[in-house]
Amino acid sequence: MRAYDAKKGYSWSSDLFYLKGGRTTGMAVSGSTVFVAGYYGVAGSGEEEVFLRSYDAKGKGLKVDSYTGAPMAGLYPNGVKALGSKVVAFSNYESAPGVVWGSIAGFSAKTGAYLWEADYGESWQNLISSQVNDITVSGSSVAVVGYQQTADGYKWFNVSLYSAVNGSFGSAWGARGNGVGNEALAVSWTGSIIGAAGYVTDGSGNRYARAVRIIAKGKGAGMTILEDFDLGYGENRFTTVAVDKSQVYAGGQGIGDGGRQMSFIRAYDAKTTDFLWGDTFDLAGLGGSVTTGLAAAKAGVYMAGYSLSAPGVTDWFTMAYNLGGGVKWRQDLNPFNQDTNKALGVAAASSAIVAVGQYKNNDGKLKGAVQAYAP
Amino acid sequence: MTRQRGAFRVGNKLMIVAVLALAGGLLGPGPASVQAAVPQPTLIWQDVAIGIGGDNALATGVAALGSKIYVAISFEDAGHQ
Repeated sequence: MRAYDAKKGYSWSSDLFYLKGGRTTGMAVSGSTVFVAGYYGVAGSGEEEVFLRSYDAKGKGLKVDSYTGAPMAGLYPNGVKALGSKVVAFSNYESAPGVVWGSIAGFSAKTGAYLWEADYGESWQNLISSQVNDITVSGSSVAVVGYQQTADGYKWFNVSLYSAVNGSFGSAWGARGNGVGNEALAVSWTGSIIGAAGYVTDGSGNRYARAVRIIAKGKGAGMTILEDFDLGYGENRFTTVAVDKSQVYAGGQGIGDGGRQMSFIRAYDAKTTDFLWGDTFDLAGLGGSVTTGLAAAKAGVYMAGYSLSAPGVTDWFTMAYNLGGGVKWRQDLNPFNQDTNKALGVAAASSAIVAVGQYKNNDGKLKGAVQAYAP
Repeated sequence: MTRQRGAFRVGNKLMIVAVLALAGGLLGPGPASVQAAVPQPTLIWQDVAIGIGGDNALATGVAALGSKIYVAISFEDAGHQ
């Protein structure tokens, strides 16, 4: 883990820790603690487990290196999110081969210590599996998204709220198409607006990118479908979502004309739920576009990903839009004319937009990169 | 030569000019109809070559709080990751 200042760049690095077959999958920062989540291979077992390490946010070192929940498989999504004094991690595990269950766990923002754990899915729902794909924390609540599978085999696009204080269940919204495969992949929460995005499948197997809005508090606390989006060939998904005070943004990819996999972003009015603007693109007319991250800020909305720039060659892209949908700038990255260059995430800091990812060096090795742009 | 623009130019402008010139000569122009219309961002700073000596490095997670930014990184080194 590395820490940076928005204006000055590199600040400090954490200790390196060696976990064979491991990967970091996410991180979160509260006031005084930074959490790093990931997974690693358990020696001799062929299994993978998650880890969660917490560090002092000013670089004074490791606080807690632990995860005290049930055994959990790193093959499935895991990560961590924080807001203020509330920190929640999520992970998924197999109870039997191919039978996945999601769970969430709370941690102390001050000390990094484990506090509680909760299953994703209540016993009265009579589920046969569930999977958490993303979470976000707001106030004393955590929104959890993924799928919940009922006994008839259908996977439901699901958004559930839990207490971030003790993990108790609050409320849930579920939806599905006529096909069995439906799933929420990302969630974002600003003020009273929750945006979630993923996909639903119809009875013919066509997959539509679905975005929804939930008003978390007050009147009209239902889930409204913003759009089931299709580039025309029934193979679409939203993979990321961001919410600001007035708009919900969803980003993803789908198959368009000529079999090209295109990235897209769609913006909706958070209050009226009207579609406002959208953009669909690939870098060179060759497809191969994947959207990996979305961040909303005062100056615009920012999307990260990668796309084919030549046959077999992906370039990193970071795209900036103003809030009306106009393209402000785009950064393409392939510094050594190699085949693998990918932006894997983007975040908005106070005075910079930060994209992270990897590129292939001139020695053929894959290296990590962080770039900060003026908004 | 547009595909390499902006890359690795902080504190090393001369080297980048050389890379751009060479790559541009080898690759020819990118999709000009798109790239000519889209401006580049202003690069404030960058941290690259993370995982020096190792391989399969990637910066996967990023979190920002005010002016502080934290990035999760993994890479392989001597059989470990």
